[in-house]
Amino acid sequence: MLDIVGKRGWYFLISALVIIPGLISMIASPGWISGGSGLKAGIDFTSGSVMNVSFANPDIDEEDIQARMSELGHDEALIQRIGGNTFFIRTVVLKEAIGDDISEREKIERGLDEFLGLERDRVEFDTVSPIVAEETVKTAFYALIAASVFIMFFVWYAFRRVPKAHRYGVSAILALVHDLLIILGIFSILGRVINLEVNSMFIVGLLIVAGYSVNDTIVVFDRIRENVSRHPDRELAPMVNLSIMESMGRSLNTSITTLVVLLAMLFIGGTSIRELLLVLAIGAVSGTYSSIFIASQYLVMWDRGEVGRFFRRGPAATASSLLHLIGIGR
Amino acid sequence: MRSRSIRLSITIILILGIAIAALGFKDINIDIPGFPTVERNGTGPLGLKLGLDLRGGGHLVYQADTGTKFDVTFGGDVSFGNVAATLQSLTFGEDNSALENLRVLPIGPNRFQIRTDILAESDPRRTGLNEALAEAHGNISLFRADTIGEPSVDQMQGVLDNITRRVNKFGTEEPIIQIFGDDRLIVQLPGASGSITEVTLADPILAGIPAPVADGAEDQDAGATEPETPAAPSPEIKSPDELAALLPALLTEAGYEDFDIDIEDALHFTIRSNTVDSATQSRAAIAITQQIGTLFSFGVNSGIDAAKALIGQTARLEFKERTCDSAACTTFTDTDLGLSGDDLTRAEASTNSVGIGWVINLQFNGRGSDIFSDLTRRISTAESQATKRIAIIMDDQLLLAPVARAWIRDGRTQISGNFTREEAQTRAIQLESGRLPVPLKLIQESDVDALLGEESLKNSLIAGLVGLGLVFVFMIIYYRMAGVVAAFALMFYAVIVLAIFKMIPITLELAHIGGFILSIGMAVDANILIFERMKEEVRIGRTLASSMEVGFGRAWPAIRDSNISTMITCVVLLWFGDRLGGGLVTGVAISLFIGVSVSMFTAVVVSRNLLQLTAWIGLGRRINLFTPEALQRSAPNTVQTPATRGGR
Repeated sequence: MLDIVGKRGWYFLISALVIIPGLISMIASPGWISGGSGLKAGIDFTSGSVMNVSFANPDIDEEDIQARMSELGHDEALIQRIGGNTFFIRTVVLKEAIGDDISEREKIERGLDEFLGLERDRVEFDTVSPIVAEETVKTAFYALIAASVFIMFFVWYAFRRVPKAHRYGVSAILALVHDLLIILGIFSILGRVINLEVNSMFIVGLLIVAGYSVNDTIVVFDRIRENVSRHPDRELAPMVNLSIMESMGRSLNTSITTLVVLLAMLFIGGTSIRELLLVLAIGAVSGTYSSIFIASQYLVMWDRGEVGRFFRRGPAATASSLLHLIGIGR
Repeated sequence: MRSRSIRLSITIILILGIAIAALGFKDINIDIPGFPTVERNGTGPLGLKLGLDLRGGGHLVYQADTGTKFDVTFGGDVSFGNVAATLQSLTFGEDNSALENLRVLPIGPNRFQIRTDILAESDPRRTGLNEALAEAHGNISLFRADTIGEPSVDQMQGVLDNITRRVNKFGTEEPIIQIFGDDRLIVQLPGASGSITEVTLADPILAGIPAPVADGAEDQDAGATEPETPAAPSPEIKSPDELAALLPALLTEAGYEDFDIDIEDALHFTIRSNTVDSATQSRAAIAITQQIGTLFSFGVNSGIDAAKALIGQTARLEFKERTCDSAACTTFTDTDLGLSGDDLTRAEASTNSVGIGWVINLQFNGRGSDIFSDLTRRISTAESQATKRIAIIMDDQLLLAPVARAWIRDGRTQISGNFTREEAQTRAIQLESGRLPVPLKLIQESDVDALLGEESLKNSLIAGLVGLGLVFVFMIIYYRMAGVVAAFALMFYAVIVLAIFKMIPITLELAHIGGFILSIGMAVDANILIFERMKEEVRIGRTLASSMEVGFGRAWPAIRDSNISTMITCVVLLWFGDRLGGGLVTGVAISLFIGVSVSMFTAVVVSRNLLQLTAWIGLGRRINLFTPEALQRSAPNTVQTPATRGGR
């Protein structure tokens, strides 16, 4: 049987390799101190500009304009037809004319006119407030914290027949926080690298992943619960290893099937829900990973007192205990 | 055991049948006397209601209604026409300036509301109006002037918050509301785009078309498909065919798009079209009068009308004591009580104590309770019940006029009447949401397309089906017969979830679709858990039937606890979303909750039952149909212990 538990240090290292750069990317963002998120906020969350434009050609549709707006450097544009050949375009706040540069509004009008034949005398232009109020984001955040507390107590209760049941609750929440940090980190980095913005669908995705993550963790924990109750005299580590191996087939199959649906939609589906699907796909992988390699391993570390030792020691000893965990320092 | 299973199967088939019926009939209207009518007729596929991002809806632009408002009460009755004529002819000051953008609203036989552009305190038009009107129409008993100036940023934010609250209370739909420029507000509401115009003519079609039929000829370039023959101005009755030829040109000219005309009889026709604004409506009404015949009525309904009426309302709420002159209360006098919307702390709709029919619950603050107590003490006596009412007046229009049945001392009261659920809710929102910091006027109204684009939506749907198909293939290859069972269970799952979405009804948005996709994952997971456990039991040599039972029992705690944890998350999200106002959060929570509950039911009841059925119809003997590798691994065993295979 594979010794999964023995290499537990590695898993935390692998996660740290994703999470730490992500955290740095978030904290290093200029707005962090003033309460900014470190993520690149899409136009759902920021004030923006709105243009009401009409075209002479009735065949022009949203996709034509979307394509043209992308060429003009406005990928983020949200375009809606509001009757006839009039369209309502939301963008980020457009820059005023600076020096010799024409204003962005002028640039867009010219750009649309050149290829699509804009009726320029009918253009209306103004600024708009954010679509999603800050309140909604706060609501989601508080709701997640409250949900975590409730889940911790529920898991504690559900595992009351095994010794130290509260550890299962804490570990499940740890895995949840892990998954959310992975997603936040990856999106923060992608925001820097490929300008990926987060919109309201990102919040939706995070909430769904939160539901999925704990769900998956509990399935793995259930095996541990079963094996530990059957062999109360054995040590926890081999029991966890056995449980993981026994439930490996199920874990892989479930995440593969979920991923198949998500990836199919990601690759052949429409562009507009890609962000949501990306969050869900990362969440599905991370959720499965964290159940096996974070939540379960954390149980073992806690059981062996490694967690406390890790934090109580000085820097040098911490490094050596880290190496020890990875299996090099033995 | 078997009879239980058969009963269960029948129940499952019944549930499935109801769900398919619920989805199959596009419109579902259930009307049981005594209960609120249930109407399910969304515009999406299968009659599902789709939200703004998936389907589009109505696009409304409001503007702060700035200006100066005069409230004038004359000593005696004055005709509206005379007052309006006087106001139009009045000029003031040295430069003889007139009242700009004048609007006059009659409020009572001797009371008028007059609106103009903003007038400064010292403007001669403002200072001189009282005198000028008194001169023309006799003494004025009350004259009040108010100016509603350009709104501040805070005031616009206040308007936004208030309207968000109003729309959210109206239903579970998620609107988009944004401040636009300095003094405008964009409101996009899902669903129900388009207008229904109902026209009733005064005379049957179309006796005596007058000469101006020539007007119809001008309309032809506007896209009339049939060459109309205006050359024959026959005063005779026209046939419906001729009307059908005349109407499209007329409507196109007026500004109607994508319309569908249904001529019901010689007097009525109905036009389904895009959402038409009031200017278009009046153009069409005028054109019909000129070219077709005198109108008896011309009514336009937009799907978003109900919400629209709520949004724009300024809502100055007053409670007055009404003394009726007769039992029918056609004439009355209202007395001010000094009780206003500011004294009301809560208003909500609920079912009455019997559980059928709807009531509105009100609660006043301390000051309001005192006034209300004093009022109800006086007017709830048997003799005054005949003549006294409590007039609840909003923006000078009567909203409700209930009779006080008891002395209400604690400021908590209940208004009953034959309210439908919708009426009670609308009234409660009107009562509670208070006044807008700035009055609004609707300046633009149109349809709006889906935020995501139809193409994108279709692709995503196809992709979802492809993904689901791949999952079926994977499950069948990996779990054989059990995989087939899982595929059936998943289809069952999808049908039930969609039927629930439709029946609640939930306005589907991307958020719900996301929740739905991931809950498919969890539904598959429950099946996989059972099958894996089953396989394990087969491997250690159990018969298929007992493997199913034991495997199921082993998988159950995991399915139960993991799904309960997800449900806890959903309930917490729902609670927060509801309290702190996050439609997005609520949407995810509802769909995930429904998904998880149904997935649990599917795995526990449907998959299990189907598995047992396959075992009983003889397939159970062929254990390799279920777990191919089990046969290979335990091949020697099966020979040695025929009981394993034939034990049943």
